[in-house]
Amino acid sequence: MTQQFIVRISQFVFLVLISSITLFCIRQAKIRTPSIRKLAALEAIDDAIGRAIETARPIHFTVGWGWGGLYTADGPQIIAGLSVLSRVAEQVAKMNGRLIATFPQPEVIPIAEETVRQAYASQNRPDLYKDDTVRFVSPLQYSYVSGVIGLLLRERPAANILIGPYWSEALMFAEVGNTVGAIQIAGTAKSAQIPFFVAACDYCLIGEEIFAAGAYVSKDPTQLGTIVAQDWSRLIMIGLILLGSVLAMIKVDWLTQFLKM
Amino acid sequence: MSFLKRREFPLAVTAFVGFLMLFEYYFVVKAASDLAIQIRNWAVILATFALGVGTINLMVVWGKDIRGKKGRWYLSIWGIFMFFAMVVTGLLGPVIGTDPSFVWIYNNVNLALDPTMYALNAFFITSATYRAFRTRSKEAAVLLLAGCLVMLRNAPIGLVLWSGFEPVGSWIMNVPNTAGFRAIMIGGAIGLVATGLRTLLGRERGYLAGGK
Amino acid sequence: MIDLSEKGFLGRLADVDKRILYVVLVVMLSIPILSPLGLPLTLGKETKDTYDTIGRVPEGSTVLFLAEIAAYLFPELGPQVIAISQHCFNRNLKVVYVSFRQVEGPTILESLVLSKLDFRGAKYGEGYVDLGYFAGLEVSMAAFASDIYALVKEDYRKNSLDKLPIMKNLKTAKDFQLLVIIGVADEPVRQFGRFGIPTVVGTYAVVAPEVYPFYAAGQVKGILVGIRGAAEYELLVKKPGLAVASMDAISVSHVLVLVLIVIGNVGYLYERRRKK
Repeated sequence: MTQQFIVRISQFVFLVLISSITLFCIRQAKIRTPSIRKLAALEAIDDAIGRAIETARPIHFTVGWGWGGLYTADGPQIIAGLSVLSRVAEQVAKMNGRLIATFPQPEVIPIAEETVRQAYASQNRPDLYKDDTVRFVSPLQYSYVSGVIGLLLRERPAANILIGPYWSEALMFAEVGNTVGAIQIAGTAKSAQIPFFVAACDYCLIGEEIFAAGAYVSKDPTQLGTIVAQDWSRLIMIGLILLGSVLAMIKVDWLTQFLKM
Repeated sequence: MSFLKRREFPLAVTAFVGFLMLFEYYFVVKAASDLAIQIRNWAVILATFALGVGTINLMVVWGKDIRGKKGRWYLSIWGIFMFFAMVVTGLLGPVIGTDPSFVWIYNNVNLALDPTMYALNAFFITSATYRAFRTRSKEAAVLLLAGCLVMLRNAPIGLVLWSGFEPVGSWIMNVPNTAGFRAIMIGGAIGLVATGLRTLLGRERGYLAGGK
Repeated sequence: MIDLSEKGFLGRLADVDKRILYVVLVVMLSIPILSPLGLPLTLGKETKDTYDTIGRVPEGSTVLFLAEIAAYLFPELGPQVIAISQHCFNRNLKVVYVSFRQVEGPTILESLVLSKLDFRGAKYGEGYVDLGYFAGLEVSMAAFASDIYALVKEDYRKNSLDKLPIMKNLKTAKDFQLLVIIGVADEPVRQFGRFGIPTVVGTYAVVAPEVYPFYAAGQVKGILVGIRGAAEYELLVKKPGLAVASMDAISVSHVLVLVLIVIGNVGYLYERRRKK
């Protein structure tokens, strides 16, 4: 049995395991809606938008460059960002504010436009949507960076919401947002950029908390069930790590070989 | 035709393509492989066409600024000019993107501006570090100390001052840093699987413009 | 001591204007660039492991080289590509360059990297080849890994693959004896790692912490971390270049940041005490 074959088997086993747990938790969530802990960053969105309204300054939202767009491994983070955008747009419409949402991925533009339009319509404020509410900047990273930095310096938003797959633009947006005095709420699952957000922003969602954001803002039982499933999956991983450590200490390596890539 | 407009159609397409890709990854079936390769190529082509959508959005925003003479609207005129300059020069010549004028613009504008923007990170890191690395709590103090030790390990001058920075810095990178990143990566991967499964089953509809 | 304000001099150290910090940074970085300090450089374990891994590959083997360089990354990754490539040619290894992430990768490779190498007699098409860029990131990596000829029809210089002797026995990723990843490592390790090819990674310093789990697990045999890793490797292959020249500036910038951290904390702790 080649190593490649063993790798495929182990990956398949984990995929089936995590999927089964997820489906079970989704079914359970429909019977009894689970609750998840407060995420300070998401709670702060309403305050940030309120502050923007009081100071008559816009709210800026962007998802990050994401290296290529929806069809890459960063796609789920973009989707997570769009679920937060929906919530932000609803609050902006409720409080009669001004939202500017910038994107580097052209394929996301129609999705974002419809997301914001629907959010505004749900608050009976379709008139708030303008042609330049959702803006495409550039698919090239540093063209996107210079476009957004320029916008931050010109528009001086009171709230800067950065949720999605960020690469090296993370620190640049956070620092410029700090310079213009914006409250900054950020989140990414790109591990290399999390330290920059933690250091430079007021609130930060770390790692998979951005995937929980959609569930958190919508309170949809299906999505909440998935969050519970993720927690159970994590517990299984912790168990495997402990088991693997004990087996490694007694020099039994079948688990290592099974999980080795 | 009305079926194509209903919400179920994109959900069905998503589920079919997603499960096909999973099947093709785990099982060696030639027909599935061939279809998967075709679909991957289509995805790349679709993404390229999406640039047209982005271009229209860009022109609308710039056009609005120019019409309303909002802010630095003359820069929007420059933006439109440069956009068409790149498009026209890029299409000249026997092979797209090889005309000398296009190459000149790319080498002297793009290749010069990109590293310049990246270099701004040096300034931002300096100000962010100065502002954020404060001993507000015990945890912050530990973070600060670890950061300083790793910085001194990475800089040659650190090793001139004390050779111990190398083993200490290496230990920090190999043990607590690796542990922390492993945890984040595992959590992120589980989140990805869960989000992917929700998307395949039609429970996650954020990509369906409006999500409802 | 004269109080400059209610805060006092020490208190104001916690609130130095950013613009002053930026000016100080520019001035301090200019010094080692204009007048090199020549500080010694030691060899890190990660770099040594990279060198040893490439050193163990038998002569005549073929290397899959993911040269993911963009213009803005060239100062950090360019020297890594040059140093590792030179080591490969010194050891008479054949190199297949390809890019899945950076559109500009092949352009920069052709114009800024290959011109700096001593090929030791290796000819294009026999000793090395540039296959160009393939859009689709992980999707095209997966396609390349399972069937090269299904994805690649011609190289970057528009030669058909059939006319390139180096490509004769290369059908899948399994046919390579070494994988060199320059840039982000996640996706290539996922797509190529399952073939069991020895892998080394050269990456920029910000992303390097993400690669350490793979290194600790043995999936990656060596790492070049940023410009420092490139400088160490340049010295190992006896080809000092841009990276070695930049190390003094790295030292000065790190020391400056440490000094600013100390200054900021002095001001912060003074203010905290004063308010109590």
